[in-house]
Amino acid sequence: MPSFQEVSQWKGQIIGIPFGAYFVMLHYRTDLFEAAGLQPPTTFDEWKADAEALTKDGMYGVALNNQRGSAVGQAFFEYIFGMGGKPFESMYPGSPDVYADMTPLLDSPEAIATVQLFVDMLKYEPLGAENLAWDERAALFSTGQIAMVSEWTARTPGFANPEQSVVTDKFAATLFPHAEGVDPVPPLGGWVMGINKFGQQKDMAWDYIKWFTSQETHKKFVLAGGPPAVSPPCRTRKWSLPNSGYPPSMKPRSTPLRTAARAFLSLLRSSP
Amino acid sequence: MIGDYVSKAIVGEMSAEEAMKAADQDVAKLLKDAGYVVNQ
Repeated sequence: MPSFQEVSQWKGQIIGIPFGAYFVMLHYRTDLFEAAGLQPPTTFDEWKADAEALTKDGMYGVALNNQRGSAVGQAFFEYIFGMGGKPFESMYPGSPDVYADMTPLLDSPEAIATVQLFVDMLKYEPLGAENLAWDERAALFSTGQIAMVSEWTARTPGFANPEQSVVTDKFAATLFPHAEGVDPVPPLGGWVMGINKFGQQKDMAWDYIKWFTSQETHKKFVLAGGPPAVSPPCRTRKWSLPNSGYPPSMKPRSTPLRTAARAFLSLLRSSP
Repeated sequence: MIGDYVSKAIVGEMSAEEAMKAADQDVAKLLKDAGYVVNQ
């Protein structure tokens, strides 16, 4: 995945080894949507309308990453592109050099609309939503207290795990919503392993990286629920995983995981 | 810094427009001082 390789480079130098890639996707409760006669949203306006319709009888529509600091800062970067804006002049999907012109565009109409969207959505979030971050939002969804959550796909297996979730067979995942007339821009994230330049045992660290990112070890990592570094997940025939070629955490054996896997593959195909 | 200003809008300390105008000014200064290209 070229875009994931690029985040591990700086000024032409490889500075880390990527080993897990994932996207933000909208996870939603299929049972609640069906009961309300709603379709999963594709635009922010539809998302807001669905959240309003589903906020009733102790259920809340959504929970956003509102917590002050890095949580809501990350949320801003997740949503601004889908709003049709960009945070900095040269920072946009497909940019040849995202740091060429770092003139901030944080007071653009799109940036302000992004923040106003966060403010507007508070009406459909649980009490105390101003202080929610990643873990709290995942817990709210997996315990059946919110109808939708935009979450990194690294958490999707947890939502489908009966030991961690009560909505295992009641959710699906679809593309992250966007503004009307704007192409979807699914946020890409992941993990990169590097070596501290001040470390005392760089050789050992490098041996560990080689071991951890080897095909054999990475297979075990994915089978344990970790996000795969290859795309589509474990498609390579060398892995020869039983049944489908997907790890158990992504095996499309149920509706939620099937829709998540399908949307995940769609994202990968459209990834620059 | 951006997250702090967005949060101010969310908790009602500032409007979205006020918060992001302030964020834009502070981030521009920060990046310019750090040597990045900022045309502002």
